[in-house]
Amino acid sequence: MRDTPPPPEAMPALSCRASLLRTSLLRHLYVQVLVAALLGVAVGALWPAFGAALEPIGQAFVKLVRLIINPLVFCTLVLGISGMHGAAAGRIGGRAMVYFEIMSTLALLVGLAVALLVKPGAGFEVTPGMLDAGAVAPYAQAHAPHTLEGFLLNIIPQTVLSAFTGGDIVQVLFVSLLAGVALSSMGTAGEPIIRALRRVEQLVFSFAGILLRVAPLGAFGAMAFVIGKFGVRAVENLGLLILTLYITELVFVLVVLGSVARLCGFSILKLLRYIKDELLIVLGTSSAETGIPTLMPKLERAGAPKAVVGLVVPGGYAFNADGTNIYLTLSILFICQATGTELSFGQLATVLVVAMLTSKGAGGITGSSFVALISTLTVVHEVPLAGAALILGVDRFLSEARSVTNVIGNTVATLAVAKWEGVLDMEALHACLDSPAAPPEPALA
Amino acid sequence: MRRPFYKILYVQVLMAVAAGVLLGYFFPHAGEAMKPFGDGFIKLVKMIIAPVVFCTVVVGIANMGDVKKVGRVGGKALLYFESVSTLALVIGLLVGKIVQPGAGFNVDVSTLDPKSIATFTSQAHHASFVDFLLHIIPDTLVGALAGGDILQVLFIAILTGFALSAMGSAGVPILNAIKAAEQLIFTIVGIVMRAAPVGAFGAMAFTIGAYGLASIANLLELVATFYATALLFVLLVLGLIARIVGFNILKLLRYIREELLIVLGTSSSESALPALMRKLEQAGAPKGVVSLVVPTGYSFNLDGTNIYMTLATLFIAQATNTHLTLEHELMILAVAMLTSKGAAAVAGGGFITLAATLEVVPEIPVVGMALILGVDRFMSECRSLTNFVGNAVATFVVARWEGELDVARLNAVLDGAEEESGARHAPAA
Repeated sequence: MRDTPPPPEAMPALSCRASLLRTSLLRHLYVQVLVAALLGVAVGALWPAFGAALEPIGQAFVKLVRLIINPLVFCTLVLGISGMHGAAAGRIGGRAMVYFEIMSTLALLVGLAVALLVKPGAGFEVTPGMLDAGAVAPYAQAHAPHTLEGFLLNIIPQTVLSAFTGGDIVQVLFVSLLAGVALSSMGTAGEPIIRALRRVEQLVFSFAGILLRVAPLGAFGAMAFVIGKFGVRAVENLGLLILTLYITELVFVLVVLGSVARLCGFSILKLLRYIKDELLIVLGTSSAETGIPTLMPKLERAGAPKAVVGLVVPGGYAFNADGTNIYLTLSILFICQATGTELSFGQLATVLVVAMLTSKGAGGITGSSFVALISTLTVVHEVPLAGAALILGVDRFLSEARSVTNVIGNTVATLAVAKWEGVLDMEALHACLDSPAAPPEPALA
Repeated sequence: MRRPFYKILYVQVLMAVAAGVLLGYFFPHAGEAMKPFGDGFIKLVKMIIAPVVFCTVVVGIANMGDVKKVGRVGGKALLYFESVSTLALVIGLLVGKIVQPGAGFNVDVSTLDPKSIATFTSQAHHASFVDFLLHIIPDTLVGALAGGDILQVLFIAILTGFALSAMGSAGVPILNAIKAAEQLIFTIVGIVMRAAPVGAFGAMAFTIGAYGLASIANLLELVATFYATALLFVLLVLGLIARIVGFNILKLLRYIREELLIVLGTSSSESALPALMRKLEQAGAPKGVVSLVVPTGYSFNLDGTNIYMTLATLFIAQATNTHLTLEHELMILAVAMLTSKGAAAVAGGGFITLAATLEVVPEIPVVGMALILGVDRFMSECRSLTNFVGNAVATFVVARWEGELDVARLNAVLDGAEEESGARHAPAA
């Protein structure tokens, strides 16, 4: 009885918000984002200096999104869990972690295998002395010491509220879990709090709706900056690396995630079509975070229960960065090949283990994947740290691909965990995925 | 339902402490490596300090307004509560200074937390009195709660509390919301406390591993000192008050022994409150006084918790060789008076308020709490019992002060407790 989906009063707000968006802007949001991003590319290519100066526009959009992620995750997760037993929430969390670990390890292995096969770094023949170690230094300082102990202890925020003022989504997850379990054990005494949280959730959703309207602007600014600042020339030098990464990420999505999707009973292509708005926004801004606010309600609409969505989507950004993982092993081997460093089998295994740890928490924020790369390199001494300078110039291009893969990976993860729990509403899912261009809205328009 | 569950948790803590001691003794290095478990638990506790303090102080001040509204009785009750609970704080402080249970522990703070030295020195920099006062005012209201500086939290909590009572009925919805949040926070405290065995295990294994078996002697001395102090407080201070009011404290203890056993079993006083209130009425305290004093006493008059707070604070200061000035001690007293309010609502609440008090004096390393984490549980019974007796006595004091105490009946009931409790059961059956 307590495991039933959220009570009806929560639903109208959701669909109301969504239908508002779709009728006034929209059905065409993805078109707008796409056009804006292409415009950005054109501006960046034609007037590089001007394009690079547009960086604040993209940054502002990402900042705006970041504003609402913490409250959104908190509301969704607390409301999702408060209706279920603590044990059930624990089981979802456990299954999510199992899934995360399997998939992200797989992603690391895929990156490794592709790098060994394609050898994108072969023939560079650079020596560490030729590289600009200074360019990498700031990132090396930024990375926190990665110990398992430190990582686990850091899950606990300094105070309950500082979890929300800080930028660490794992802390938000932790506090939300505690609050959700506490509310579910409070029974009727918790009702007023649950009612209040529903209001707050509606508020956050309507905020997200406003944000979507400026998404094209954000994509335009971010793309103009990337092309203007780094230029198409940069792409030429490391073309093989970029190409390899893009193809690998694509193959990972279609084959690996596609198989998972098939096992769960849906088509990955239809899923990609369903979340195309989010994918384009993420691609445009090269920040996986920008997809969160609308992805979460969208997945709920597609039949995944609130508790699963609330746990898996934000949790996935911390623990299941498939795209980042592929990038990590691929670029480490690229650096090895370029600098002529030979890695033994044991050293490869070390890279894998270290990357599994450093990639945690790198999924969300733009540029944090590069920091994860640096922290992996500092642990694996055999690979010259300065080699990362090779990649720095094109990291933003690589970032686009890995952010999109991270988002797709987490979307599939949400549905897969829901399916594993036996709580995935297949009818709702197919209704959402099968409809043409615009997914159906609950009739309330 | 509650009791068997609680027993399991208690046994868990006991076994965890024993396992920690064994591991630390036989494998000191492995024991030291268990430190993160203790640290993690302390981090969990520190995480909820700010909201606990904020909610309890705001609700406490608002309730104080309500109590005063009840008129003279409320005023007298508050006056008595504040005097006796301050006395309890002072006694804990004095005993801590005289007995010095933590002396000779010689804990090197850098082994507890290397970073703490850095923060300690950086905090010590702006130590001028004006800076200190200015620092109590937070940058923003929310910043105070997020930053976790307990003086700032107290400051905004007191402001909010008085503002709410000044608002009258307009403030009631806000107060209700804060009360709901308080309940949520306390439920979270309950969940966090389930991790106590893990924390106690890690803390004990580390303490024994790092400082040897001798450190048990210090910890045992703390527990023994606390039990002795609490006992003396009940017999001497409360005994003297009882004598003035006109009854014998020992007879009172005998009269409420069943309730005391319930408190002992659950380590929380709430379960025995209804029975206590009924018995106090039978012993001649008027209903109005009983129903006001006993529940509010649980927010304002926590004698056992107060003795523990100052005693444990001094213990940690002594164990880490931290020198406390008179200003520090006065500050601890002042802050403990505020943070101790409402601490009894949950088992383990005392540990959280202790953490809150420790945060106020930056010279005392909060990580020193790891030292007493292992034995905290064994003192919580004694806290609850002392709180309980203190409020029973308080009821008679206020009733007597009001001139509404039927002393003859009281003594008759206390003398013939056996008979009376038999008579009580008869009509109920």
